[in-house]
Amino acid sequence: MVKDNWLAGIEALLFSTAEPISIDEMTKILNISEIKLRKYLSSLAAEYKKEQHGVFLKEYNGSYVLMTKPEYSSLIEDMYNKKITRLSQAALETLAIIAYKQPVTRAEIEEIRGVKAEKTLLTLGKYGLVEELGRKDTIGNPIVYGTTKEFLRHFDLENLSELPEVEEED
Amino acid sequence: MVYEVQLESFQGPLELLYQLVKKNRIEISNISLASITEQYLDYLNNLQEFNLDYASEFMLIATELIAIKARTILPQDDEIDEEDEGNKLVRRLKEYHLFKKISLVLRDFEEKSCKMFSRPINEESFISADLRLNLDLELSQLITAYQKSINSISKKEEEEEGQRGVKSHLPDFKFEEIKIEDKIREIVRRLLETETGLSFKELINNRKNRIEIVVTFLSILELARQSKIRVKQDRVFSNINLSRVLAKN
Repeated sequence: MVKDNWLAGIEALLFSTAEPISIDEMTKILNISEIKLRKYLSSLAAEYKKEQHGVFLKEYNGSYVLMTKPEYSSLIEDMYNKKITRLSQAALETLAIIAYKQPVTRAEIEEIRGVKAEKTLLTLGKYGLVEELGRKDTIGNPIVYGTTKEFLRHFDLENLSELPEVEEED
Repeated sequence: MVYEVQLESFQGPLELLYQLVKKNRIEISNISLASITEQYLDYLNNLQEFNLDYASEFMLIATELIAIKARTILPQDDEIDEEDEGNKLVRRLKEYHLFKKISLVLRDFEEKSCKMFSRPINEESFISADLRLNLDLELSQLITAYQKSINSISKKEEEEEGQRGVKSHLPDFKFEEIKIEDKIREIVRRLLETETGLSFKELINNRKNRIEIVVTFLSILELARQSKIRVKQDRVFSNINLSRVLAKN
C-alpha cells in the first residue's frame, strides 16, 4: 500500500468485495482508528456522489459496499442481457404476511390469503427470502417461517422496523 | 365495466371479494358486503371451468356472504352476537386488504433496490489463508513423497514382470474405480481410529496401483484444504504425518 494513501486503500478494499465490509474489519486491515476511517469513508462517499461516478458508497448496518447508481441500471441489464427479476404479486403478499407476522405457519398464511401457499413458500425459500425458524408448539408441530437477511437486502432495508407501521383492528 | 371471468385471474375467493369491493368503491363492512353478494354469486355462476380445489373455498365465502345478507335483510334481534360470522369475514377481508397495501410498499422498495448492483462474488480467485495452517511442509515435499511411492510401484511392477520372465506390452485392464469421496471417508475413519495420527506412507502401504495412490494424494490435499486434517513433516525426507484438526465449535 502506498504510504498514508488511506482513501485509495479503502477504495481498493471496497472494490475487492461483494459483501459489505464492516468498520471493524476495515480498521483491522488498514490499521487505523475508527474516527479516521469514518472521516475517510465520508469523504469517499462525497466523492462518489459526484455526477462523474457511476458507483456510490452504500452503508448497510454499519458495513459498506460499493454499488452501481440506480440511474445506470439499464446499462447493467444490457451488459448481462438479463432483465432484473421482480417478485410476483402473490410472492410479495406472502412475504408481507411473513414479515409482519413471523414466526408464522403455512396455515396462518393461507388463512389470510385464502389460497394455498405451498408453492409460493417453496419459491421464496429458493430465493433465500424466507427460512424455517423452527416448529410451533401446537398440534402437528407445524413449521414456522420468518424472513431472512436476504429479504432485507432484496428490499434494501437495514432492518424490519423500516417497514411501515400498521394498526391492526381487532 | 364487465370483466373477463377467469378463475386464474383471481388468487382465490378473498381476492375476488377484494376486487368487487374495489370495483364498487365501498368500505369493507357487513352492510356493504351484503350488497355485493349477488355479484359474487354471479361470478361463480358464470365460471366455465370450476376447479374443484378452489371450489370449496369460493363456496365457503359465498355461504358466509349469503348469511350476512340474510341478517341484514331480516329484522334485527337486539341480542345479536357481535362476534358473528359476518364480522369474521369483514375482519378477514380487512386484513387481506392491509397486506395488499403492504405488498405495494414492498413493491416500491423492490423497484428502488433492484436498480443497484454490487459486484458479483468471485471467491475462486482466492486461496483460503487457512490452508497454510494445516500444511506444515512445502508442497514440493509432499510431491517428493508422492513421487517416491509412484516409483516404488513401478519397481514392483518391473519385479513382477521379471519374475514372469516376459515384459508384457499389453496394458493392464484391471480397473478398479476408487472415488475420492470414499478415500476421504477412509482417511477420516482411520484417523479417528488412531491416537497418534497416520503417515502418508502407512496410507499407501501395500497399494498396488497408481490410481489409488493418486486418489489418496488428492484426498489428502482436499482434506487439508477443508482444514480437516493437519499435514506435518518433522525433517526433510522424514515421514509425512497426518493428524485430525479438531473442529472449533
